[in-house]
Amino acid sequence: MKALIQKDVYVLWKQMKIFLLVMLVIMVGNGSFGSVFVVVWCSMMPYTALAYDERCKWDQMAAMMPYSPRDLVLSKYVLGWLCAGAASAVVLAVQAIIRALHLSVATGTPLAVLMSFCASASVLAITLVIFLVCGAAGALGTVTISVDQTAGGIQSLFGFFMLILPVAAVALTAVSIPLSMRLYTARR
Amino acid sequence: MNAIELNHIHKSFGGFAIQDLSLTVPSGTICGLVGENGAGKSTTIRLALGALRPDSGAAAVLGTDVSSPAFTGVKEDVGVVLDEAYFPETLNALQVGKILASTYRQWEQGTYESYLDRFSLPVRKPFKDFSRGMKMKLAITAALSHRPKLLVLDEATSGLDPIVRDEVLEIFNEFTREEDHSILISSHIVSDLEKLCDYIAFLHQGRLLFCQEKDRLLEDYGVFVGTAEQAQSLLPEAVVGREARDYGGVRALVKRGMVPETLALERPTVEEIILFIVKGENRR
Amino acid sequence: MELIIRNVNNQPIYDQIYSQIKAQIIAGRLRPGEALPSIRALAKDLKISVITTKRAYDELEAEGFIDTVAGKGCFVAEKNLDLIREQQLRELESHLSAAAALARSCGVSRRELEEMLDVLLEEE
Repeated sequence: MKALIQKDVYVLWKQMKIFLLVMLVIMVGNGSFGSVFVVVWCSMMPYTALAYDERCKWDQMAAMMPYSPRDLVLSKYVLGWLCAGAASAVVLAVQAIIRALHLSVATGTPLAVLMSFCASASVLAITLVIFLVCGAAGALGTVTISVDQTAGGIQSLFGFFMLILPVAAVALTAVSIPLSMRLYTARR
Repeated sequence: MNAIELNHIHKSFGGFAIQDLSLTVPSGTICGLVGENGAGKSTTIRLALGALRPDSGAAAVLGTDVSSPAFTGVKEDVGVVLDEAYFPETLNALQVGKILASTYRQWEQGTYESYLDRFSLPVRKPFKDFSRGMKMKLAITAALSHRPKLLVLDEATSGLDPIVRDEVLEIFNEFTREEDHSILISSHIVSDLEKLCDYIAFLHQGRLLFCQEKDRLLEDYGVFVGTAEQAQSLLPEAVVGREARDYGGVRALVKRGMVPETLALERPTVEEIILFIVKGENRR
Repeated sequence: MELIIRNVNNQPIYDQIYSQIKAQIIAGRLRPGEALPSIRALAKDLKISVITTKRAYDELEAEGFIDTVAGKGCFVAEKNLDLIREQQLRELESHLSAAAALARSCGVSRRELEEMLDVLLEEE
């Protein structure tokens, strides 16, 4: 049975990678609804695997190989459970990361680094950042709590906000790194 | 113990039926299954390996009935190459090797890799980018890499160029150097089977017309070539089939035992024998 | 051991093997006790059917030219001089009867035939 699952994983791998990306976007946007949707969708993987099998007449080949009927059927179920389990794990992990981002350390750090390369007013800069971080955390603290309580209409507003923040964090980091490097070399 | 035993197998589909098929492949021999496209070769192979259930009759492979649960274990010793059914096309040779290593107890990775090398098969290219010949070579490689005792090959040589075909036939020939290794190979390229096989089984429209020792077949029949009048003098029972050529010539397949010994006959090929028999059948 | 299978005339393959091995045994090129290749090895090396090599070996064994030792293989039998002599006599007889038939058909008398034989034997 291990062989059959191995085969399905190999076959579905590319699909799974694309799916992961889509999943991240949906999940970040829709919060817990998205997470559940994603897990259910992931357990549909066996059907995709079956479609691939049909296309290359795998069942004819498999009938000649030492797989018991039990193996052949059960492997698809196990595949579904594994996919659902993996999806859940990823969902939890991403949610944890997003919460970490919500502490806006990511937002603050690039600015701080940028400034310390620019001026020796770094102490001032860091103080500024701490205020920013606390203020943002405070504002977003409420946001995080409301989202966790599957509320109705508030969700879409904060959902948007939540989407913006991590994206902004990533974007700022992406911009600041080369900028810092340029400033650093300029100083030299 | 026979490698394969089919006893009075009947199986019908909509417009086609396998009728009363009884075939035995003795251990240590190579049996060639010949027939035109649609004669039932692939169906016979699937019935023989339990992939299809017959309407009546029984099949046994390596001493085990194919419908019994014990047969799953016996499949460890059977290497199969099918026509048009392969591994999922997004996989490459490396992945297929890993899957088969988890499938077969006696998988030999070294053998697998050496054949991949011998056939110059790329290891990381996905299957869908393979030519037909390469697909066949990979299937043959996979079939040979788990120490099988029986090889079942459905059209394994069609799609290969003559040089590679010769090499592959040589590999199959070598496979049966061991006493307990057998092969059932089906093909519509009769000349390949003629080189390789001990027995020739001829399937025509779902019926097995004969299963004979190849060399005896070639000894029992001869081709008479002459004028139409000379052909008339032959006993009708001796003539299996005849063919009139332009400019007055006649070719006829005759049973050597039923014509005078002094009559000059040409040596037939298995292909000719089969063609004449089919023409004779069709006329009936 | 030399074995060449030809497709030229209609001689069955098993017969070719049988005749060639027999001839070599009689001629002494294959010595008594010498091991012959196994039925299967011979078949695979010559690229012919196992059934055919078995048939050839079975006939050689039936006529006493080879022995099969279970588990060990096939060996050339001890030279049976009587057997060989008989073979050679038979062959001589068939040559002579052919000569006689030819003489009859072209009108050569018995006397002329005997003279011919004398001359030939003297040449040896």
